[in-house]
Amino acid sequence: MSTATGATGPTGARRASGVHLFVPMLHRHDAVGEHAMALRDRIVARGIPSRIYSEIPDPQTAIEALPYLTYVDDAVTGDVLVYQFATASAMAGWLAARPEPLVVNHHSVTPASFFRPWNGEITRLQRQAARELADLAPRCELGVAVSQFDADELATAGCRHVEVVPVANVAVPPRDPDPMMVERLRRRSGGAPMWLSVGRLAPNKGHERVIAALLAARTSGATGTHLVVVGGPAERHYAGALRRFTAELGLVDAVDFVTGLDEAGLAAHYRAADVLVMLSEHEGFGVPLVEAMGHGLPVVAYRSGAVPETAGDGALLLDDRRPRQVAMTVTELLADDERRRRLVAAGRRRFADLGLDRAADRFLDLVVSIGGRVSGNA
Amino acid sequence: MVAGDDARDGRPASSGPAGSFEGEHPAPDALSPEEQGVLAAFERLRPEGSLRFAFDAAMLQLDRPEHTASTRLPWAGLPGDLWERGRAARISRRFVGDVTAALAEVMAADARAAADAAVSAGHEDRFRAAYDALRFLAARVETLEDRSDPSKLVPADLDLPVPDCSEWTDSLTAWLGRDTSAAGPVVVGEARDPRLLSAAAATGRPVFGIEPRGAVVWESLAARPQATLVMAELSDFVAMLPDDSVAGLALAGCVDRIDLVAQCALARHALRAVAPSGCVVLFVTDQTRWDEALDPPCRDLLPGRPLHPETWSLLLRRSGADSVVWHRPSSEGAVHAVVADIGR
Repeated sequence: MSTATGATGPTGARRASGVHLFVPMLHRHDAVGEHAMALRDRIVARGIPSRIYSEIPDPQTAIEALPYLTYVDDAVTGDVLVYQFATASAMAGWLAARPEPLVVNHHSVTPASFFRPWNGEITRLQRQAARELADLAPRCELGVAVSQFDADELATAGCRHVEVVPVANVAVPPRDPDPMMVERLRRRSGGAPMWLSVGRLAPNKGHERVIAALLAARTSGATGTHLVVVGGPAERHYAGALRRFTAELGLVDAVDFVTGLDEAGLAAHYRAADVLVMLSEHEGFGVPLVEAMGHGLPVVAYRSGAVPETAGDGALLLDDRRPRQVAMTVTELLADDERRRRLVAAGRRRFADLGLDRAADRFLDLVVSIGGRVSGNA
Repeated sequence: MVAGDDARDGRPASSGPAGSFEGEHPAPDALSPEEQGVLAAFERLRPEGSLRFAFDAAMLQLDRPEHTASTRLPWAGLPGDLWERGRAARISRRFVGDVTAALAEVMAADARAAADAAVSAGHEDRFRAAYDALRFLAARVETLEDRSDPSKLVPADLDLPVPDCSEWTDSLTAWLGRDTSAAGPVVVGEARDPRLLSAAAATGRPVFGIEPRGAVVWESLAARPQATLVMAELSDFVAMLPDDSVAGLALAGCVDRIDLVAQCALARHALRAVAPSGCVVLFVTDQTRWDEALDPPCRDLLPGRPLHPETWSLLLRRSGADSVVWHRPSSEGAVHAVVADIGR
């Protein structure tokens, strides 16, 4: 790494150039937010300056992020800017006009079509995000996608140099669960199967399909089966419809909606559940898949987006989401101990093979390599 | 529609860990009737008006400080006569929709540009009035929507008694079948009691069974009934029927628990939907038996309670029924039958 040619700081000392992360919103317990903070920590651990800049402040992360426009005063020659791209932001156009080398870390943009029936504003933002990607991709020196699925999207948008590095925010080894919550969840299920569905309550996630499959399972003999849906209400109409749908199906006592879990709480759900059922129609990576595999939870998932490449042979992949088909697959899996053990073992192997513990270093190696100008103490 | 949903990705069935399914099952879009019924019910929970009129988008954009700061517009109160105009107008979806659409079209497309243009043209007051009008309508719509469903309960949430109409099944076949000149199918709801469906099917007409409880629809459809079952709130379904489109309606269950406004609307829509020479049959739970049968939470939280058969008779006559006959139940029965004939 070369010496900085940066500006002079307030004390008169020359400031080192760094790798700075830009994210529209920095939220805790959010895949992109946690990924950005994990990357920042790894970069700093290498002795390279790194700060996170955001557009929309979040009180919970106020000490972690700076307003992005203040970067103008902090800029040092040799800086590399990394944009965490997942949604529309005024930051995109601003970054495109900056002189520093730009890396786009692409997390997939959920197509607007998923939101069109539910939310006009989000639909508009997703369309805008697609336009922003088309503007940014040709301008960036490096595109880093979290999956080949996203890499293809980046390349199609005009990015000339694309690499695939998975997300950096999955704990390896998995975090320990909250033992009291595990106990409480097991008491709740009373020995009956517990299905788990993890993901924001957004239309592409297909939670309604899991609920319909639960109905099919319960009416086909698995009467005590219950479902826990973990995820915040990313789209309020869809989230409300899920609750009403659950009530209309007579499943109020069989479906729990849970949000606001910390890491130990989420881990407790992975440990206490019998199966993760993921029927999302669009996934750029699929963090819940790997978290479940890491915790030894069998996974049944719909073959969509990046799910097949992330899951490998560590999950049971479905080619359609018909409720009866899903119910039958899950019920048969849970009734077959040997098959379940094999799937869990395959999931653990896949979790290890993904190399998630090395993701941040791989990412950083790539970023440093694009200019070789980033300075640091390491 | 739901049926083709899974085919959206256009991927062929493929092998893999789940490869054992390959070739064993129908194509991805071949949803069974019960699957279609349940998933179609979820589709109906999508918002309508607010999206159609770009209402959400307009309000979110206008509430962003960066879109309004440049205009230095204060958050002024409503123009003097707006409340009067709003109150005088007939509150209906059309009114709200038309006004909102007109405002939203101008303002939501580019709120800042619209505000700047209005200010530079000396129309700040007009812009402010339009802005406030939109805010007024937003609040109004939200209030109306909340009032229409204050408890957010659905029938499947509550342990409601199923009206026992068994003593009327033979009569129902006779009432629905006595004039064969009325065109169209017969609609029966709620469809939790299969005996009503069978009685309607005995007329030889196609039968639609309407039922709001998803689990009931699922199990009934899986049993392949003679009737076409639809998972929907009965009063909503009847309201959507075209004029003169059915030969007869047999309504039970929902008629007991919806509120007075909805009961009046149901009477109007039922008479409108039934073709000439057809009839509307209401199965109404006896008020005393209803109060005895219900748990206190149900009694307290339900929007309505059964109207007396005389009240239904009055409502049906006022809504245009040719003749209305009240049939009392036997001493063991708890359900009255009110039969309204539609004139030729």
